[in-house]
Amino acid sequence: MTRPATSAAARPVVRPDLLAPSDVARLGGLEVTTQGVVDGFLAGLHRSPRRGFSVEFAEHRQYQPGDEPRYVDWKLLARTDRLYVKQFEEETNLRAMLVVDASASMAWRGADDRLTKLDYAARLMAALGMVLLRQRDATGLITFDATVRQITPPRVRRGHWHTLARVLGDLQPGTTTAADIALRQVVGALQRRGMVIFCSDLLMDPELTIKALKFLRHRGHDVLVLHIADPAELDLARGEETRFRDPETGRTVTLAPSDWATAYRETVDRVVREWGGACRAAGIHYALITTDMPFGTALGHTLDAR
Amino acid sequence: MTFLFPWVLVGLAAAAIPILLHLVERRQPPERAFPAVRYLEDATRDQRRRLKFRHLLLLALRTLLVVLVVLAAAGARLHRAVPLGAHTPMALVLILDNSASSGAVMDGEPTIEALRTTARAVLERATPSDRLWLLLADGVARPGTAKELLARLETVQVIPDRLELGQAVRQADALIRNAGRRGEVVVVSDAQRSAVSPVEVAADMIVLRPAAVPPRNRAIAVLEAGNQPWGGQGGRVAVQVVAEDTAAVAARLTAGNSPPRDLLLTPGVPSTQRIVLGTPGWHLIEVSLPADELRLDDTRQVAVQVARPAGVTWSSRDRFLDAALRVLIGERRLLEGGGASIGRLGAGPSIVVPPEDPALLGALNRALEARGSSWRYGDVVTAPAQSDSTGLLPERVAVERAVRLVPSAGGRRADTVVTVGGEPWIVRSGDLVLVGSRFEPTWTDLPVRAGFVPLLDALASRVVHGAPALPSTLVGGRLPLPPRVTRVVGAGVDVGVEGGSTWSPPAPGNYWLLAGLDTIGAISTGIDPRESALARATSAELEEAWPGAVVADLTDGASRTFAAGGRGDLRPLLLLLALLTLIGESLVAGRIGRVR
Repeated sequence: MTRPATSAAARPVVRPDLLAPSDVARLGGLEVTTQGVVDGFLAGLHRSPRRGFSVEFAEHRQYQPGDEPRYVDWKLLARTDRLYVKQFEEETNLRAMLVVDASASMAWRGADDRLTKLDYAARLMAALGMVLLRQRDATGLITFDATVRQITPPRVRRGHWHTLARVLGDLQPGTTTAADIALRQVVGALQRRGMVIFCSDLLMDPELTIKALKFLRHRGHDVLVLHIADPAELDLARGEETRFRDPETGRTVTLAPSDWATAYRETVDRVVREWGGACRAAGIHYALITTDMPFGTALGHTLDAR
Repeated sequence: MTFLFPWVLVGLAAAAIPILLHLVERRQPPERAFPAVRYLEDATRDQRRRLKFRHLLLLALRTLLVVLVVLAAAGARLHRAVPLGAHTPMALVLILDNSASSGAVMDGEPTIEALRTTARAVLERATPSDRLWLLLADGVARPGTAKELLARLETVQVIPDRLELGQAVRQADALIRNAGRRGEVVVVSDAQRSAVSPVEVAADMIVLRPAAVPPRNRAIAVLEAGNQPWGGQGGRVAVQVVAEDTAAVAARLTAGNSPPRDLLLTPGVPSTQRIVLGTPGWHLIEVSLPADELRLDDTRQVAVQVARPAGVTWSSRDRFLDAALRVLIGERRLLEGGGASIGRLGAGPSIVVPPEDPALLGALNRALEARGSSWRYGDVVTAPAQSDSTGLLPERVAVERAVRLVPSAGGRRADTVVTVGGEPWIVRSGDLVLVGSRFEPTWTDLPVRAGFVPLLDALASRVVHGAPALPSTLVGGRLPLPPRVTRVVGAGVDVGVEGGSTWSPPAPGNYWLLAGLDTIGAISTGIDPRESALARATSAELEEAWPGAVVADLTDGASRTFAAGGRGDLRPLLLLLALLTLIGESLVAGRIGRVR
């Protein structure tokens, strides 16, 4: 008994960016799967009227001692016999900084078939970093929990994505959250106006965080807040009385979810509205991303917000 | 507070169960990591204090529920009446006064209806554990369940009897004493002052009586025709009305077939009316008043027999007898000369007195025996004594000397007309009347007493005319019927009877006594005149007559019954509270989010 042959043309095209995040994770490690996600996403993007991040323009600068020889425009040297460097390409592209929350609360998932918020954020940031780098946008990464865990400066060179992917892949959940400290570190990393993508579950002090985000906005950066949430955080699963413990603070609340699902949903909606309202008021883009959302969709939301 | 089952109070330890469950429940929930605890806190913060209060309230309600159920199971009782508390099983005698006076119309309906309503309310408060009696004016205490007595209550009618409340209360008290449990006598009555007599009652007692002023009432208290039979010249009837005032009362007198005669009678003052009924035979005389609120006493009847005067002979040597008979002859009650012999044994009807000489008693006895007398003379008794009151001789006379009357063959106690010290003094045997003493002051003071002449009149008529049966009684009283009576007809009654038995007139009116087709007598009855006096005893009078009695109004007094001993069964109240607590617990539990 043989299985019927299936032609390649008849085989459905699988776009990893539209797969369930957990399915994508099963396909392989972060570095392996991100390529497929981004390729799928960008393929879809070409068929769409959506435009890229950056606007390309060129500028030459006279060579100065200390400039890397690889940026010297040899053709111009041949024609004019003067040394110019193509520094303009790098400096005129977008400089983006990915700020990823790696606190303990991010290492949670509401169901076994879903990624933790941290895993999801890592993959989403890896994909976003790849998209940015393919557009020649210098992309950096800051991970934080109670303190800044690691800073990877924005770079656009080949292989930089692997650096980002390695950092994101090795990311381990920390302790509590202090986003304002990490966001203020961005100021030092982005000397010029750029883009800050803040990826967190926003289970933190809203006032301090909004204040820090406003500060970045004040410095001329475009700020995008990606609010990562597990679906189980948005809707309380009905069930018997449970003692809920905050993995960061250790605080507990005992209640019967069945009795409080409605009130909880209203509270979450209010919180989301407050975050969105506060961000919009400060000129900050805000998007709510749930961990069951395909990465392609999440990237699309991110671009829409942008 | 006392308990029927004190050992059940051990169950109060179960009151700790809700608290323990509460504490255990706090530790039992599974723990689960959840980053958005701050959202849970936000969601519950507003209601947290209220929920905490509700939670404590829920705990309190559950504990209270256990306590209430345990107390109810233990049979908690108070030593006083409690609202909603069922009474302990007890004995209760309900005296419902359906005597003649309860027929008086008050506020448009007979008083008995208001009494019935209150009695119904009393019985409806009874529980199946109670022992109950319903005592009516007929003096019969009817035991039964509340349901049975309620059914009986609906059939209770006004009867023309008199209810002596004191006697009824004593009877009820005895019933309760024999019941062996705490009890209560409940009197539902119009509380006539004339019906109240002092009684010491051991049981608790409640008197429920109307508060309204009783209606004015006028009644014919007396209608008497005197000695009978009447002669052709007629006779006199005595009429007396009673009322609460002295204003003259119009009445109508009807005698036989004569035209009605209107009378104007003064209450409390006897009036004598002369009536001529020429035709020999039986005649009915009736006096009636205009209708008022109590109809039973507005009409009275009496039967009169009219016959020719009896002819008598006597010895003029008997001074006192001679004087009395001449009075009767002058009154045309008797005729001089004839077959009846007075003072000695003659050939015909005779009134016989003992001879002066005791030695002649033997000859007299033999003569009496020859005449077929069932009585004879015995020993001479010289001990002073007094006669016992009878209808023929109402006043008591002194008897210094007498010859004992002894029954011989066929002699019956029923033949006795007058007794002295319980012994026969005047007896009748056929057409013979034997008197134990001579009509002389040395034997008895009867000849010098006012009752001598009427007694002679009655005795002479009785021996000559065969003694018309004219017993008088009140309604409800039992009368011995003459031996020959076969039927009683009158006042809506036509029943066959056995001569010599007793019979009770069921209603006021006149009843003819028939022997075959012949009328041999009549019974004229009326209600007890005291039933016509509707004036009510005051609360003070009732409390004085029945110390400790609670006097209350008919309309709201029923709620005070079944409080004997003041013990209140708390079980219904506790169970009601438990039910309310359960409802409250359900409401609170439904609202609560059980947040801690």
